[in-house]
Amino acid sequence: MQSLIYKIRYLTDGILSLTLSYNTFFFLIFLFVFLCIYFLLRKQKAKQIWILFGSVVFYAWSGLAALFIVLATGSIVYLAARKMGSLYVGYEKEKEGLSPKEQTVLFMDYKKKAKKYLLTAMFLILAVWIYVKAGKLLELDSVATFSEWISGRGIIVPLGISYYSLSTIGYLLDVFWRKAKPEKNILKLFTVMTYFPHIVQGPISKYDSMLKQLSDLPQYDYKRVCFGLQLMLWGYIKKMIIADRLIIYTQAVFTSPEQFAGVEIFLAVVLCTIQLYADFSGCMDIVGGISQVMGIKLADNFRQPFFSKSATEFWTRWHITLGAWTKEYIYLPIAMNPKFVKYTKQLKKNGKAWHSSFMKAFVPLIAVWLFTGLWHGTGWDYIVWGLYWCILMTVAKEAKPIGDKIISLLKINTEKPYYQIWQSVRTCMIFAIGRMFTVTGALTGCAVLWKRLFAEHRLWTLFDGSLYSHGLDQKNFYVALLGIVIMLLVDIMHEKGKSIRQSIAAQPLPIRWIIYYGAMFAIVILGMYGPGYDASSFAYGAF
Amino acid sequence: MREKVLATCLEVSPSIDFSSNELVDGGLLDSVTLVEIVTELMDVFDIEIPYEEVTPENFNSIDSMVKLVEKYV
Repeated sequence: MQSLIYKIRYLTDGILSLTLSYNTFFFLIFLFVFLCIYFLLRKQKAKQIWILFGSVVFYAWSGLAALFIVLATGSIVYLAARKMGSLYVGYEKEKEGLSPKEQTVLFMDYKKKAKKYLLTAMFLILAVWIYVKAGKLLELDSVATFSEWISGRGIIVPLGISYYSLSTIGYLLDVFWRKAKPEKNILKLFTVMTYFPHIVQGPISKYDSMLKQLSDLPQYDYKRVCFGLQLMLWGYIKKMIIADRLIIYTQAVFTSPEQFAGVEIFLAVVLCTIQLYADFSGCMDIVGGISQVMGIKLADNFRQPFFSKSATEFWTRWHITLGAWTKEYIYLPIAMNPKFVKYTKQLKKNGKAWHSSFMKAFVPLIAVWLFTGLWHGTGWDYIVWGLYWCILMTVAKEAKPIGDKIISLLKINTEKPYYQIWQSVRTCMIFAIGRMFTVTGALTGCAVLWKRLFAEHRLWTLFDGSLYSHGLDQKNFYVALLGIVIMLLVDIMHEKGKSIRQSIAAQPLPIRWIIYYGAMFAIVILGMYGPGYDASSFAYGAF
Repeated sequence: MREKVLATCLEVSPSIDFSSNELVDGGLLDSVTLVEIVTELMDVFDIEIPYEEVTPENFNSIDSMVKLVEKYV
C-alpha cells in the first residue's frame, strides 16, 4: 500500500514538474485531451465551463498564488463593471422625459459617480502591474507561493500580467464610456480573462468581442478544425525551425558584442529582427490555430509587417492589438481631450500655427510611445526605444510636405516596384535600428554594437567558416535560411491576398497529406531541442 | 446648424463625400481625420464633446453629427 502511495506521489510530482508552455510536448497532450472533451460536450454552458476549467489548470501550472491574483483581479473588474452598469441603468430610467441637453447634464452626474469605480479598479490593476515591473527592474527573484513572497524571497509574477492588465483596463473603460455592456456572469468573465490561448502573450483581446463569441460556440466542423491545425503547424515551424535556430547565433553575438564586428554584428541585427518576427508571429499562429479549432476568432496581431511603406504603417501591421489598444485608450482620448484641444487652438490663434500642429502630433504620440516602451521593459533602453519611435513618427508627419517636394523634384514614380521595395527595406532598417537599443539589455550594449559595427568589416568570416563557430553550424544556418525564404514566400502570397490554406485544401487528398506529414516531420526533425533548448521561452512571454 | 457642421467637415477634408451615411463604417473617415473633425467641431461651436461620444453611430453622417452637436450647444 505504501509503495502504491509512493508511486502515485512520484508520478504526480513528475507530471507537476513538467512545463506547460505552448511549445512543449506536454502541452500538446494537454491540448489533445482538452479538445477531445471539448468536442464531446454538446451544450454551450458545458463547453464554456470546460474552457474555464482548462484555462484554470493551464494557469495554475504557473503557480496557485498567481492564479489567485488573476482571479482576484477578475473579481475587482467584475464588481467595478457591474457597479458602473447599474449606475447607467439608473440614468436610463431617470432621463426619460428630459430634453437632450438636460439628459447630457444628468449623464455627467452619473459619469462622475461611475468614475470612482473605474479609477479604484484601474488603480488596483495598475498597482499590481507596477509592483511586478518594479520587481523586475530591481532584478528580484520570481517566486511561486505567498509564503515565499511574505518572507521577502522575491515577487510573484502572474503569467501574462501585461496582457490581461491591458485587456481588463480596456474592458473597464469600454463599460465606463458605454461602448460595452458589463458581463453579468462572473464565470464568463473569468473564462475570457484566463482563456489559455491568449493570456500568455496576447493578442490583447477585446473582452466584449470574446464574451459574444463565448456565448455562441460552434460545434465541430472538419474544415475549421483542419485550418486551425494547419495554422498551428505553421506557427510551430516558424518558432521551432526558424526562431529557435536563429537565436543561437544572435544570443552569442549580443551576450558579448565586443568580440564581434562588422558583418557579424550586421547579420546578428538582421537575424534578430527576423527571429523576433518568427517567434512572436509563430506564437500568434499557434494560439490563433488552437482558437480556430475551438471556433473562436482571436484578433489578428500581424499582417506582413515588413511590407509596410512607413514606420506609421508598420505599427498597424506589427503587434496590431497593442497598437490598437494604445490608439483607442491613450492616443485618441488625449488628442480629443477638450482642454488639450483648447490649448492647441489658442496657440494657433496666437500665430504659432507650426507649434500648435507639432503639439497636436507630438503630445499624444509621446504618451503612446513612453507607455509602449515601459510596457515592454522598465529600463532606460526601452524608454529610449519608445522615444526613438515617437520622434521618428512625428518627424515623418511634419516633414511629409518636404519629402513630397523632393520626390516631385527628383521625378520619382512612387508607384514603381523599385520605390515600394525601397520603402519596405527602409521600414525593416528602421525596425532593426530600433531593436539595437534593447537587444543587449542595456544602452551601453547598444553603444558597443554601433562601435563594433564600424570597427572592422570582417567580411572574411562569411567565407572562412568562422561564422559557423558561434553555436550555429553551417548546416543549421542553411536550414534557417531556407525557413526564412519559405516564410518570405508565404508572406508575399498573403500580401497578394492569396489564402495558402485554401489552396492546400483544394489539393487532392494524397498531396494534402504529403504537405501535412512534411510539415510535421520538418518540426520533429528540424525543430530545435538541443541541450540548451528552453521550451518555456517565447520572446513576448516575458512581458 | 447643418450647413455649419458640413462646412467644418469640408474644411478639414474637402475630398471626402460627406453625403455618405457610412462615413466611419465605410472607411471614409480614418482616425486622424476623425480627430480633426471632432476638435474642429469643439472649436467652431465652442463645446466639449466627451470621448465616449466619438462612436461610429455619431459620426457616420452629417445628420448624426448635427444631432450630437445639438446636445452640447
